[in-house]
Amino acid sequence: MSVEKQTIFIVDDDQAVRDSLGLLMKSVGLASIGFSCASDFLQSYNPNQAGCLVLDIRMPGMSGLELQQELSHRNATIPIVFITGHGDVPMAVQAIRDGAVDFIQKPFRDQDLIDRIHKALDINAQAREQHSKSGAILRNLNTLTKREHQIMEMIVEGKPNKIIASELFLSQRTVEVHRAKVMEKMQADSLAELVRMVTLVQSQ
Amino acid sequence: MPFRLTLAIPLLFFALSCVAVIALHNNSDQKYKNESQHRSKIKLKSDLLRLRSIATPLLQNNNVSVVELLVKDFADSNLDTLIYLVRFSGTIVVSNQNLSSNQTSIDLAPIPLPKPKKFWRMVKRSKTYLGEHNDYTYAVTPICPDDRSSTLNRQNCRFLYFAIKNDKPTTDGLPSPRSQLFQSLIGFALVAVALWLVLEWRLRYRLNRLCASVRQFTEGDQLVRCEIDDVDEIAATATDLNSMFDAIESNRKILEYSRAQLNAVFETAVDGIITINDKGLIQSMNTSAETIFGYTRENTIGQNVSLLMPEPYGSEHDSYINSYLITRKPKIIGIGREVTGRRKDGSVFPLELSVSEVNHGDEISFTGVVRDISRRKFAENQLKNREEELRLGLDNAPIGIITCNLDFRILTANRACAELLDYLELELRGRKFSELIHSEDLQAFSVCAAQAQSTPADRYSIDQRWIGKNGAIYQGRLHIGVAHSENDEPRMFVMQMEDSTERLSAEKEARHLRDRLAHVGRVSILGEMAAGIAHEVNQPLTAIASYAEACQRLIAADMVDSNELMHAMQQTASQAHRAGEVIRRLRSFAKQHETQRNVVNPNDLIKDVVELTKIDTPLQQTALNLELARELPSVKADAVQIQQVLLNLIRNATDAVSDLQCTDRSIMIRSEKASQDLIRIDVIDNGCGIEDADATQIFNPFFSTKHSGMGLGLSICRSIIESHGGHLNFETRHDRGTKFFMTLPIAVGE
Repeated sequence: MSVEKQTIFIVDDDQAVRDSLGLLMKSVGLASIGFSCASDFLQSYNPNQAGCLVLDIRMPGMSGLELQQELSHRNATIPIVFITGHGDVPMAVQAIRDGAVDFIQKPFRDQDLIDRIHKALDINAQAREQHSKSGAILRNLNTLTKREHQIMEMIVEGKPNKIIASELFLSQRTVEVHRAKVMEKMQADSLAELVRMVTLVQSQ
Repeated sequence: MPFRLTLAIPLLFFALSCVAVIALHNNSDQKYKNESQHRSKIKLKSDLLRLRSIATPLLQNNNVSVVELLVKDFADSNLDTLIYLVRFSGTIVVSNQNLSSNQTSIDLAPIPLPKPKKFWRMVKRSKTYLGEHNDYTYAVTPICPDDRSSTLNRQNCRFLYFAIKNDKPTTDGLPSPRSQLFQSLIGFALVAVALWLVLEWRLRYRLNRLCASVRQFTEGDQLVRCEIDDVDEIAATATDLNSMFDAIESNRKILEYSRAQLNAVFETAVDGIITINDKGLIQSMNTSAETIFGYTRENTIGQNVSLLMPEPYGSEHDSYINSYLITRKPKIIGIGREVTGRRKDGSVFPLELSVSEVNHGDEISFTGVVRDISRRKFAENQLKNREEELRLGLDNAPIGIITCNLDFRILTANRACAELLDYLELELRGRKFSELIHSEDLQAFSVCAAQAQSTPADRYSIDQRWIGKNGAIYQGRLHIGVAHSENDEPRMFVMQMEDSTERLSAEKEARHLRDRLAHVGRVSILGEMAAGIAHEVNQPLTAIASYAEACQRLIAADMVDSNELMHAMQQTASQAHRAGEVIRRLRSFAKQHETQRNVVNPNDLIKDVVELTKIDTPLQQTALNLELARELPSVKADAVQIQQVLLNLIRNATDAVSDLQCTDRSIMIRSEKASQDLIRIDVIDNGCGIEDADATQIFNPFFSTKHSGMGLGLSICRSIIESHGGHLNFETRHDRGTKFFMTLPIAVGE
């Protein structure tokens, strides 16, 4: 896991809530930045920044849900913890469906919020890690020749060399060479690892 | 000569004479007494000496018994002299008294005399001793043998006692002083009587002259006066009589004058005056009486007064008089009453009769004063009829009518009034009207009453509340009129009480319902606002919790920065107040309350409502623009209800603009003074407008274009505004927005 600095982005129109949450974050050793509205946040948001978003659903101007959608449009992967002033269940359901980490109802116990923030930060960290992993796999994949790529896909499907050779009208020996080449290029030690790499890339 | 001397002089003369005579008499009486005693003594002595001279030689021979016999003989022949012959030892030898056996001693004799021993010294000198003992004058001499030797034999000595009672003087030829006294007293008395008679005669003479003068005066000689001839009581009496004559004379003149006056009064009196005697016969009658009854006095005087009365009084009148004369219980005398009289032509008429009794010695007569009251009676009857009509009108009047004196004490109250206040008519009488007025209306009443008193031409009416007997409060209108006396002074209040309790209670009921409906409207708005409310309350609570917990963590982690902590604490407190403020605002909005009309500034109301709308979440996405007139006059209104209307209109506007982009939404609230007595508030949005079909129904209850909502909002709003005396209406243009506007009357005095 990388140890890059994580920042909690607090977006709430209520200055007092914002301020108090900031103090709370500070008390558990987390850095936080407060924004009074969604547009302010969007302006200063850097997708590469690690951290999570604590977002009020109801706000004047752009609402929390609207911000979530906007971030989704931008393919931003920052995890969101929604805080809401009341139990607006349809909104909460919508938020979760759209990928929010969790939502928590005001007023909340600090530990609950902190737990959720930690959870969100973990998710963010994992995502970032995965993101960097799959980048390497993709780079490796791009080094494969067309034939090697074709053979790799078949390997991942679990086909034995013999079958691959007959399907591609190649000799078993040729397939074995290509296979060795693929394993080398993908830096995979075993078939299982290769399969995991391929599924990871395909899932994105 | 003064009168008192007439008797005093003879009496004094007599008294002085008596004193003189008695003094003289006393003097001569003493002399007489002394003289007689002296004579008695001499006689006794001579008798004694004579007897002794006889007896002594006899004793010389010791012939005692012969002496005794001698003495005895002498004694028996001189019985008016008491004679004892006593031995030296005191034993009585001879006595001319009848002595009892135990009276043999000189001590015990009927007239005890000094014992012989006392006289022993005399024996030797053969002296005679004279003395007095008790009432007696006595003489004692011893009779002894003529032997001067010392050996005088006491046994042979005898003492001879002679005693005479003093009041038996043995006098003759000496004139008695007592008879002299009587003689001179009688003489003086005679002189005194003579003197008195003389003086008496003179007195009588003068008195007779006084009497003669008086007699002359009473016989009519007013000029005669008594002669004053001296300076004594009689002269004084004469002076007094003269002044009395003068007084009588002047009184007589006055009397004559007043009689003339009385006669004039009698004849010219408006009332008839008739005098009758105790038999009921007419003695006199004045001109008015003649006129009243139609008789002349020539043919009534001497007639029975029953002539002037109708039956049955005429025939019973004599018995009335008799009954009074016997019982002395007046039925009409000194009381007066209305009776009926009969004229000469036989017509009967009412008259007022007062009778007084005149006692003149044994004669009793009655004076009757009669007044023909047939006209007055007629007027009275008419008045009574009028009064009856008026009373009926008053009693059956459908509104309360009450009369009070100037102190507001109730004189009369009619039935409607009594029924209105649950009293009996009699109970109201005498009460203070002000006690029946609700205490809050008392001030207005007294002001109005004072006005009515000072400017009598107008009629005054005020709305009031009255308190019934059981404490119930009745509402109505009071009309105050003031009745005046002859000299235009206010005399009493005549007030009409118009009951409007029923009408007002219906109004009150309607108002109550409207209040409740308004409350329901408010509660339903609050229900719709629940999400917003929760958010608005949770917001500060979240902040508070977070601050507190952050502080705990900072302290636990020993990361205390005192400035930070201070800031957190301040924020905590202010957020708590913020939450409290939200709740207070909601509570005051949601509270069910009796309508309270206060003077409020519409701009303040609008600002308050804007605060309230911030709770409502959807509104937070819509900007509210305020365009408030400066120095807007105040209105008299129920603040909560007006706020309710505004909130309703703003929420509707918000709904109308909700389809627009956030940035395009516009809601404006404008206030202005619309006219001299109205202010106007507009709520303008740029939303979708109202469909024509809906526009006609928008104020109808249970009409709604929304999915949720009862459709009561606007109908409640309109009823609230109209109950405040204002109007609520709107203008709309499709897709261009709607303008709702309401007017409210400006408060009085603004």
